[in-house]
Amino acid sequence: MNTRLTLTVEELNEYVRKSLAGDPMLRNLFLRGEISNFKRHVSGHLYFTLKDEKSAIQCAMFRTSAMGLAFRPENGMKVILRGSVGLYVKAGSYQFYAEGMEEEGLGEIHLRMEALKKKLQAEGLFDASLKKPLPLLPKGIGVATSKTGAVIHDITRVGWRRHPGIPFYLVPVKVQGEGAAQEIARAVKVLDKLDAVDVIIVARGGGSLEDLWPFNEEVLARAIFACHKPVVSAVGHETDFSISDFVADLRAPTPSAAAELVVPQRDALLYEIDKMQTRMRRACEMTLAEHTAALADLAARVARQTPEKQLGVIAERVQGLSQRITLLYRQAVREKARRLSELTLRITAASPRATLDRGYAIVRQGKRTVQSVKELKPDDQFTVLLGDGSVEARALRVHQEEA
Amino acid sequence: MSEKKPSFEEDLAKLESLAEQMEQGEMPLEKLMDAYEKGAKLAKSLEDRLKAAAARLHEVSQKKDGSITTEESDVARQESLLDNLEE
Repeated sequence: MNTRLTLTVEELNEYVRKSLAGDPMLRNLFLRGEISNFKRHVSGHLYFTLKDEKSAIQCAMFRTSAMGLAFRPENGMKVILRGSVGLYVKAGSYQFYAEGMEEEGLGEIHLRMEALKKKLQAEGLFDASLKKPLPLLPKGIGVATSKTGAVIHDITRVGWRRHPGIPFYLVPVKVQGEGAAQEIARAVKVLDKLDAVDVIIVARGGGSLEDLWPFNEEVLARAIFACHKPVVSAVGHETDFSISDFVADLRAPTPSAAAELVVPQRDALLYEIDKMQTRMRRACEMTLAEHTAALADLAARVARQTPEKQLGVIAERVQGLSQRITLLYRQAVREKARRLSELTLRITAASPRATLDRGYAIVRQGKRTVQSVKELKPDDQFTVLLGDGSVEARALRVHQEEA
Repeated sequence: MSEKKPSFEEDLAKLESLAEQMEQGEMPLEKLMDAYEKGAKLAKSLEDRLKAAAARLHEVSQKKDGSITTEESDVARQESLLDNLEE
């Protein structure tokens, strides 16, 4: 009689636990049902019952898994759990240990989004080679977003801060709910036709995945792709990605960031232009200085070879030739000198203001520019020209620096 | 349609290459002056374009017949932006 195998309760539970754990069918499976008896333990673990019409099972989700949830589970919610079946040895009850949880509806949304993404990608709508570059200085920025709400303000505020003169063109649209995707798509087409606009932002503030859904719809993706002007997509927060982001020529993490990407810093551009003008001016000044030096050199060489120095032996013909050369040269010099002074005038006409703005001054007496202290004596009146005006002045004392 | 006006970046690139050519120091004086004049004109037009635009928000709508109209909007104004900020 005693050959019968007698187990303790603990031994039995342990045995069942092991056999459950050893069954691959019961590991890493998906389970669909509705939450009831939901409890959040102080430890952070979640305990609840998952049920359908006919059946129920105890479920547990440990804190480490529960922390990663993007939503708050509650009674009545339809969810899909991922996890394994196990036995709670202490109570001898079997239960489901959930490691992941998704709201059922959202799970479908994810699946739909992935499917559309794959399809459009295969068609080439996301190709990097088809992305259009943004204009450096847009003449006008089209915006498709809601007329109410912070987004349009965020965009104009950031845009006007960077460039206080840039115009925006808003097509007010519904950004969530039924028909929103169609409205935004139409707005993109309208802005594509508007001549005053050469870059377009489609934008929406943060929201739930369902709120952002219009930006995952095919009709909008196709409108963005078909648009001839570059489109920047700015949907939700930094972490939200939508199909629009992938089709758009540029994705901005937020609406404000879109304005930063589209609107150039006006002051930086003005500085850039100014820098190039300075470079051009300097190039002119250098070349002029070289030419002046070359002329002086030439003049000195010719002076050494004047016919008077070639004592008497030169034939008349040679002398005549020399005179002609000299004459021609004088004409050339006169012409060059005339050009030089004319050019110098043109150059300096462009530059004294800039020089004065840097803190230099020009001293004039009547129409003459004073270039030496020798030209002034005490009590002389003169005019000091500065960048923003002039000063009438009188000389008190004159000091000359020793050379 | 008249011929297409060069874009801002095209003109900016032109100005840059002009400055570069002038800096090579191999241009005859006359050419140099021409280049300078051309460059100054370009720079002026670039500056004008940067300063020309008027900070406005326009509202765009499309009529049933497909025509597009724009009108100034008071949804956002530069002066009163801070007052208008929601959130």
